[in-house]
Amino acid sequence: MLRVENLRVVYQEVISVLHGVSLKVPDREVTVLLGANGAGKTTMLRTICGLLPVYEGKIIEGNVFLDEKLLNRLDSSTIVKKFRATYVMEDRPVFWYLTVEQNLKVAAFSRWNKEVAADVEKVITVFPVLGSLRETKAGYLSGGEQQMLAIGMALMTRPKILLLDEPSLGLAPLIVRELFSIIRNLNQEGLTIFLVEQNAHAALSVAHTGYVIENGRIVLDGPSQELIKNKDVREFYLGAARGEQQRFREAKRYKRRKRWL
Amino acid sequence: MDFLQSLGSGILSGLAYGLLGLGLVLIFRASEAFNFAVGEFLVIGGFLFYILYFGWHLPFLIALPIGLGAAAVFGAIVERLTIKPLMGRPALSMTIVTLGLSNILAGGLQATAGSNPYSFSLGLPDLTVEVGLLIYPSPQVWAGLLSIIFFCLILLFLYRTRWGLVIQATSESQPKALCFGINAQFVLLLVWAIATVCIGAAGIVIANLGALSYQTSLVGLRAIPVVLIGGLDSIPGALVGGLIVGVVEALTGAYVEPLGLIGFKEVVPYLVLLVTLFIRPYGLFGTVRIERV
Amino acid sequence: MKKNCCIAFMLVVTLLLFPATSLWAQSSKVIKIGAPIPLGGAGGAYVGIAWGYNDCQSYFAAKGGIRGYKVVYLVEDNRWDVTTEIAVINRQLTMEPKEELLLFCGNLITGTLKAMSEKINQEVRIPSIALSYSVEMFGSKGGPSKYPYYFSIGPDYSQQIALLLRYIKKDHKKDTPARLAVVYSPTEYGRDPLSDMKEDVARLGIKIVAEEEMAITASDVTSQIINIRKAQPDYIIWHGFLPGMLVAPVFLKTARQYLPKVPILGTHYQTTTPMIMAGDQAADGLIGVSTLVQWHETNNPFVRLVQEQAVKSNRQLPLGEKANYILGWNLGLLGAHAVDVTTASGDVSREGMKKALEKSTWDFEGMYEGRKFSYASHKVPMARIYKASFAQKQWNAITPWLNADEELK
Repeated sequence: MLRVENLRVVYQEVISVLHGVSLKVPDREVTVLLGANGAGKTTMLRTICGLLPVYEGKIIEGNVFLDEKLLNRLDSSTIVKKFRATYVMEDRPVFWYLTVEQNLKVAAFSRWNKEVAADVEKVITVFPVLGSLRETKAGYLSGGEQQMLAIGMALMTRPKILLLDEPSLGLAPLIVRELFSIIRNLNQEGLTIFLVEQNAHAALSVAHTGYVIENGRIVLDGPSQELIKNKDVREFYLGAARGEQQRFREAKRYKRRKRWL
Repeated sequence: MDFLQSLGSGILSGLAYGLLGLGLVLIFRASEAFNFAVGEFLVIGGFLFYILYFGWHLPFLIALPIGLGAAAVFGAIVERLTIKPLMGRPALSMTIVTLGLSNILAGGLQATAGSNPYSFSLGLPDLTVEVGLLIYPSPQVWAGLLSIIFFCLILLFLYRTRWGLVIQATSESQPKALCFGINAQFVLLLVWAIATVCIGAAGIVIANLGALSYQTSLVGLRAIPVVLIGGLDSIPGALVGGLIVGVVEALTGAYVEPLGLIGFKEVVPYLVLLVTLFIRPYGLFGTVRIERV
Repeated sequence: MKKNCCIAFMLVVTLLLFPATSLWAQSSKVIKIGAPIPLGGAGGAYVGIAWGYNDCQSYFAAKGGIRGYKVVYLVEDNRWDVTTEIAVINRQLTMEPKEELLLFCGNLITGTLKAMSEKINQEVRIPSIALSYSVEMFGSKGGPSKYPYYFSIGPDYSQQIALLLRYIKKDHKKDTPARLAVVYSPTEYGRDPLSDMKEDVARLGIKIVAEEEMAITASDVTSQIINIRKAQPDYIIWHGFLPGMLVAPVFLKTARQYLPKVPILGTHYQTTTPMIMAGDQAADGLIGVSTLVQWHETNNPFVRLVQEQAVKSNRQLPLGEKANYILGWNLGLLGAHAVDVTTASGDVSREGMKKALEKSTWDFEGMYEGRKFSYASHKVPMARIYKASFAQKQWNAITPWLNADEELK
């Protein structure tokens, strides 16, 4: 189980992004972290995967535990290899100048055993659309195909827990639906998934538990069924209006006080 | 006749320049830094080989791989000491570091090896090509031949092996590589080691044309127009740039210098560079960066 | 308050010490000799020369000086560049007192001699012994009348080339005039003897068939060699290069490749041991004129003296530095000889030194095997022709010591 305790993270020693965040990602479940832009979702994922130094960030307080082992000071390749936690960065992290097949092979590099070729075939069965695109350079793929390739590459590392950063970003609704059904299938085969999303609809439809993060603090958590019904979540993240006419002054978001404050 | 003679020797020296350029391009693609210490790397590569071949009298086919291996280790040490601490910093600081590095290495070289030239004749089988009035002396033919062989070996490694694939991926984007568990720091070390092997091999063939001394590092400066003409991040560009510079230098030496402009052949590659940059600012084969203004 | 007191205290101490140091210096008699030498730059770095100077200075210090005068050599780097050297000379002239800095004895470049001729010969009037054998300064058109304070350590370049031309004449056995190709560097040093040489050549019946310039930092000289090859010369004379230059070994190797049977003859600076090391096999059989003795000639008293001193000072001399070391001693001893005759004459000043040098005849500590030379022409006219042997890594003499003034009458 992935457990984050009271995490405080700063960038460049002065920009404070996470202010004491705690959450739990139980095994074999899909957990979602919802939040607006700049809330700290990506920072959360980077911290878990040991990528903070690349962005000049630092954990100044708090711990990250995976299966009760401390992850704070480990570097990213150890985390991927030993703990099998793979992070799929936002905006489709594929290598544009390599072909699809080369991308998949490169992703498996840290494992380096004879099963790599077989794994490539397995990934192609999960994402059939990649099968016809094997020899195409990844930079030429469409957004949806790139996202599928990115998740496929993550699968090549045989992860136990998959961290997805806004997979639905910039994708057409149909593709998003396809993507999330694949995510649900992966979870049903036993993969733990920690999902960070802005598209609350799609995310809450596959998740078991959800957290809402705002300005670096967790403001709401609970089973996804309850979150869907929560009024503030509906208004601010699901776009469901209140039903009656509102006066303009009350509609201004930045002036509205949310119930959880 | 003159033309063919000059063209031929230009192509042969151009191949050596191309190998030199390859080293610079590899470093630039991975670290985004321009290695100004290329002249000193050249001479140090030559000296490491000199110790094995002329000092300990190992046979050539043994001294060459060991010497280049030593050059690779040297490149790795330089990377660990100077570049790794700067990871994450802007590429400009790494470039400035190589400037200082070149001075330190030049001074260290003079202090250890002295300032006198060392005789350097590889004693390879004579490959002089004589066709009628054309004559291409053996050291030059070997320079071109060995450069092409090394170039192809490096290309094979980069494009046909798994490590090569990983180097390509990491050169493209370090953070993405890190996400998939690739040890980007080690890959960077590897790239510097391989680039130093390229530069060292070029140094050996160039020293064979004359003697080896700290002055030989001046030839390293020829690599600057080579990579800028070809495109700093383009591997085929290094070869093309090298050939262009080599041929242009040779033709200038044959036709322009007798008109009284001695030494002009050092200037001409930069003139060609200027013209190229007007037409294609990123070099002939460099990736054009699309910037929204 | 405390900080101000400290600063004031330090200032006072410095001011007190300043005149004290100069007083202390004057209490022991010192003659300083300015010595710019190339320790870096495009000509190459010749640290052995500096070692020679240092050991020479200790040698005389151990003897208690010369007639009570301490001899000090001010060795500095001129980077084989005229601008740097002029700066060094000017700095030494301003910083050192007139009564102490009486002589320049070092590797003054031909270009510097030209640039500073007015200043040294008319304004400052300090005798300057240069390693340059420039024709313009010391040859028939120059000489002591035009440049009264310039001295040279050997015959000028046109005399050296004249010796080579006479050698060619003797060596060339065919009836047709010998065909000669000339290679030089595009510097003052390189172009120096050309006009005189052309007159000489006409008189001796030798034909110049090719003239090529080679830049000193060139790494490829194929085009020049090809031009020479087209002219089909019997001999090549090269002049204007130093063994530390990038182009020297490249030239030798390329010339050997394209013109394997043509003898190559050089002037003094092409005839040094580092040149053999640089040129490798291609340097075998090179012929040249040298005004210096070689390290391996241990039957020469000068060489023995230098070798003894090297052992005493624990000098580890690699092969290349041996020639530089001898050169350092050469210059050092010549400077000391100048001090010797000046102090003997009683007039210890720059003018006095000039007069004393002109009147002196000397055998250079036995270097010339019994022959003495007179410095009246401001040149040490002794030279010798050597041939290079790569196997032995040394130059072997093929003529005895020739006195150029007498040979070329």
